[in-house]
Amino acid sequence: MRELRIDDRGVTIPVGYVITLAIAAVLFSVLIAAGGSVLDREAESTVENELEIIGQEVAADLAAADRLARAGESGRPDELVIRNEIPQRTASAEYRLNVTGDEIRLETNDPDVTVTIPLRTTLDVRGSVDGGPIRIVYDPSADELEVVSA
Amino acid sequence: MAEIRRDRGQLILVAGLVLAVLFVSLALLVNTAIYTENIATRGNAPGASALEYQGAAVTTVGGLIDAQNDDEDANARDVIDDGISSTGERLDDQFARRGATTELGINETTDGFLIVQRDSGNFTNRDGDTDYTHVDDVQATRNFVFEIDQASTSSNPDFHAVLNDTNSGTNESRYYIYEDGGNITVRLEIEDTGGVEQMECSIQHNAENVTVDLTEAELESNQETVLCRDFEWPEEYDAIEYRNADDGFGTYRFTVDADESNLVIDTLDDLLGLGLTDPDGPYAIKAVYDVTLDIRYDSPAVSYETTVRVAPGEPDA
Repeated sequence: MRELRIDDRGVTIPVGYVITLAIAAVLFSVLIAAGGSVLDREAESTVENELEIIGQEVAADLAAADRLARAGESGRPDELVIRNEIPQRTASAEYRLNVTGDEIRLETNDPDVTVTIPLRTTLDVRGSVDGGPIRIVYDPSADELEVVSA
Repeated sequence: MAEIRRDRGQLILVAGLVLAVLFVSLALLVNTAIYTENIATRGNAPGASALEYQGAAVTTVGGLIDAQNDDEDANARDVIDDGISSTGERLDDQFARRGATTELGINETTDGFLIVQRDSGNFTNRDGDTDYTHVDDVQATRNFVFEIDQASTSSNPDFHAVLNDTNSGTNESRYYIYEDGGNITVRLEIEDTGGVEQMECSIQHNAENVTVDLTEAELESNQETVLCRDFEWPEEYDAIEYRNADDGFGTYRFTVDADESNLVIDTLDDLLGLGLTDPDGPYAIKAVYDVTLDIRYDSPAVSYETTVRVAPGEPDA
């Protein structure tokens, strides 16, 4: 009888299993890791696109409000409100919209994306709101446009 | 017989599930991206309709004022009021189809006078004076337009319309209009304490009449329009005068915001009162100078309310 230590009969099947499992595990890990990073990249660029488009929509509304505020030849309007139902959240998270003198800044934390849209209006503009329906209101006392949540 | 183990193949199952979730997420993301791009290409100009409404109201009422002033109708103001109210109704119908409600009303009307020479002739007044004043104490002027007859207008640069700031003693703007070898030339001289500034604007007349619009700073022939970009309408003036009026020939008209007591030339009513049935030469007709409109526009996206002053052909201050 051969000694057990040097007896290699019947090892092919377990070794084959182990190798197959190892290869499968590596393959799946690589696939999942690659898929995950593609998803992250895709999510980030989609969110960036979304924020950019929302920002441009708000910029167009502000430009329209600015134009209307100056359209009355006898001075500023008695009332001016522009409403827009911009999305409450992007593909992955909620976001915040800040309007300062010459830019609209849209920020979200997950993924960490900030988009800045340049803005040129003759009136001063201010406002800081979360995503969701907004109103652009002309404030006659300050002679400026304000962005508020609807 | 081998024992059946229920946890075999877990690795493949779990990995497959994870990958499936990944792919579904990716599909959702791509979908969002496509939707967002779609939104981006949609027209988004919420204020455009409100501006369009205001523009339509101003243009229509402007045309109405001018047409009615021209009619020499003593009830021009009532007719204009009625016209504005029916304009408001018509525009409301039109914009209701786009889901908006509108209101148009009159806030204020300023009366004035249309000063006009309808029959072609030289620019002297009815007494034949060559240097004379049309009106004093003018608050504003609009639509100051000459139809210059090139054949009879002198080639000497003598005839000029003057916007005189009589209070200052020196400041005045003089518009010389003359035939200039195939052209009609308008030379503007602006005089103030600092001296005289001159600028010129010409147009080929092609042996046809030429329209000279002083308030819009524009010359128009049957073939072209020339914009006189350097011309500046004076901010301060109170009298409108003509000098060497026998050298200019054609017709003209302008509307002033002034009281009847400040008119130096006769009104049409005066002339008709004298028994003249169809007087020629320059005279003044009661007219509406401007109308201030109350405008309101409401749609799901825009609420807008303002007042707009309508004074067609008024120079930009």
